[in-house]
Amino acid sequence: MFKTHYGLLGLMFLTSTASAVDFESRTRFELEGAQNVAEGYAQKLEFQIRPELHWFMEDNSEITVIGRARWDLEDRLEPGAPIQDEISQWDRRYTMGNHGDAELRELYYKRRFEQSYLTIGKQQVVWGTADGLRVLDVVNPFSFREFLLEDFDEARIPIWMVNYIHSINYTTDLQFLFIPDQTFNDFPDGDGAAIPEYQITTPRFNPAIPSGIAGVNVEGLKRPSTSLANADIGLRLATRLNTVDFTLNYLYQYDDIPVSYRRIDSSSGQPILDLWQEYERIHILGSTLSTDLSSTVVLRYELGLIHDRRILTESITTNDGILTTDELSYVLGLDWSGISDTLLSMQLFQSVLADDAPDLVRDKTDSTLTFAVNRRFLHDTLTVDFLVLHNLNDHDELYQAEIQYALYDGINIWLGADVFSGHKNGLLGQFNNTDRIIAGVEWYW
Amino acid sequence: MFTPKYFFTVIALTLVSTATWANLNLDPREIMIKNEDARKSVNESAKMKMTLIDKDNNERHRWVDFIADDTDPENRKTLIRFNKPYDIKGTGFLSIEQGSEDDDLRWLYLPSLRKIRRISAGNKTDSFMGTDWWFEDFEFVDGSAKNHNNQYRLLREEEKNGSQCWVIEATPSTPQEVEESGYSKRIMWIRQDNYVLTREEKFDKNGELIKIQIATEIKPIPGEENAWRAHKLEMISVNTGHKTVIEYSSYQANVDLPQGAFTTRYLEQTR
Repeated sequence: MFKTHYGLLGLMFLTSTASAVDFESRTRFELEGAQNVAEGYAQKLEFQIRPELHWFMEDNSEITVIGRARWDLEDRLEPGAPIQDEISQWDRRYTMGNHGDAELRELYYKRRFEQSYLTIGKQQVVWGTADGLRVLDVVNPFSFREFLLEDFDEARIPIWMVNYIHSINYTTDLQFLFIPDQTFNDFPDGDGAAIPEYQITTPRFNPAIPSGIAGVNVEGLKRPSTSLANADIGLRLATRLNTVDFTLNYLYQYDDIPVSYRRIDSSSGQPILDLWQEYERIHILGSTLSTDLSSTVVLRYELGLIHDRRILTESITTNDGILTTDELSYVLGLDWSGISDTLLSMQLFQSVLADDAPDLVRDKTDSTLTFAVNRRFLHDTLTVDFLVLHNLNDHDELYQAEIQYALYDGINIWLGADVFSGHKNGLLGQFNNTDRIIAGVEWYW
Repeated sequence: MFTPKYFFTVIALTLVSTATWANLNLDPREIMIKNEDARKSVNESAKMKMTLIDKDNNERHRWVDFIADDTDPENRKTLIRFNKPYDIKGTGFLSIEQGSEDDDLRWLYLPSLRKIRRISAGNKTDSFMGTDWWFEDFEFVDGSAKNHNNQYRLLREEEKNGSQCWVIEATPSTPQEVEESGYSKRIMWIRQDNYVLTREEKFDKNGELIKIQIATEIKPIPGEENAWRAHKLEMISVNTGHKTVIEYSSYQANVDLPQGAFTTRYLEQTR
């Protein structure tokens, strides 16, 4: 599989009609440590190296290679070697014992034509206007190794795709995505002896085992076949209407979160619970907008209508413990920049289900508020960020604060804190015992 | 005794005094329009080195690519992309002016988020990427499109750095400009030989001098008549002693810019 893949890339190199006229490289080194202050132990001490290479050709084409290798001395985020069964063969990390991994993050060929852009290879495509929340930013799957605390650029898993953008006119583009790569959200695995620091335990995603069961038969994760018929397809129309930036989006994909099915099998005379997880097709029809409401206020929204979303129910007597329904998710955000070098941002995120059931694991309407402040001092050398996420249904929160200082050009240090609060059943409250302080340094060379 | 020498002296004095009279009677607003004309090219591209210097002379550097389209004074377009240092490489800023009344359209591309962010035009006093320039300082506020937002007064004429200059005071005159501008007034030195702005002193809302901009290395714009560009700009923050020096290199005027160069699609490209 790998050979085929790199063969394709080699072909891209060879078929590029122009010779490289310019070459750029940069490497990022990062050392970050985190102390779990809720439980009192070192959570991570990670060194990361991220080289980037870019070749620019005469014919407006470019080849980009980005790699990443990291070593975590603590090994609490993914204890042991990660299983990676959510990840396709093409995207798996190369593990170096229990503490390290290396991966090809991105490898793509991009060419700019007169009125279009073509990008082929392993890449990230970001849709949407929301900060810290994802409605349409689902083209690439995510790694939840650090839940939502990792930078999205690092957490997003680049995947193999064809990305074509055609300019209809000066302000209107049509984007087409063809994604044969079957990689899904990567949830951290334990090694049997230890559980991951950010293991998802909330009942929203982890169904309870019913009582009176004689045994459990775990069938594991069912992946779609690698047939091209199972490829994801994306379309986006982006335009500017007067002063309004507007997009229409469509994505036909396998939901990156597997559906956890449960069924009782009594054929042996004993009630045995069959458990399996399966990826299901969904349609997402979406839209984004951003515009100035006044000279200091920007309005943003991001909306997605998801057809055939599967939601867990407590009961497993019908439909294998699943309610299939449509879901409307949206983020409405306001940015205010009335104070120099300061950005205040508020967002309302809501997910509304078309149907309800008395034993759903979540409310029909689920709401989260976010509030963020970004303030820059000393000619942008000192930056302070503060973010709060508050779920109105579960009454749980995540507080994030970080102060970053640019020591020299290309060398930054930071100190921060991530604090969760709320009940352990909440999406945020489940990590109540992982409050941490972090410190880090990065150097670009 | 009437002699040819006397005659030419009288003529010369008459011409000079006529010119001076004419200059003194030039509406300062007209001078600012001519200043705009004197810096004009259809489009341009350049590489810029920005040096940020604190009061202890510690330096930080930024390297940027700059392109601008001046074809339509009502609809000027500017794109700036950072190349170094590497931690901000790819950060881009796109601005499209919207005629005389509307706020400009602005977008910022942050490669760390891989997202284009719409930013409001009212944050005029935000520092531009840590430099001593505010976003407001990049606007063509004295051009034909927007000069009605200011009133102009000719204060005096004097020599500055070897050139005879008009000294013109600009004060915000519309309620919106008064509210949004970070300055209560600006005093500009415009060279009389070529209408180029060589020095500008900027005063905060309390009337205190806060910034001084100095333009040097003034060179003709290739292919243009009576058009000039300062290739070195210095902005000094008076209160902190911090300053930023911008030096142009690879300056080109009236070049073929990439198609769709002033679009958000182009903004998010690596280069």
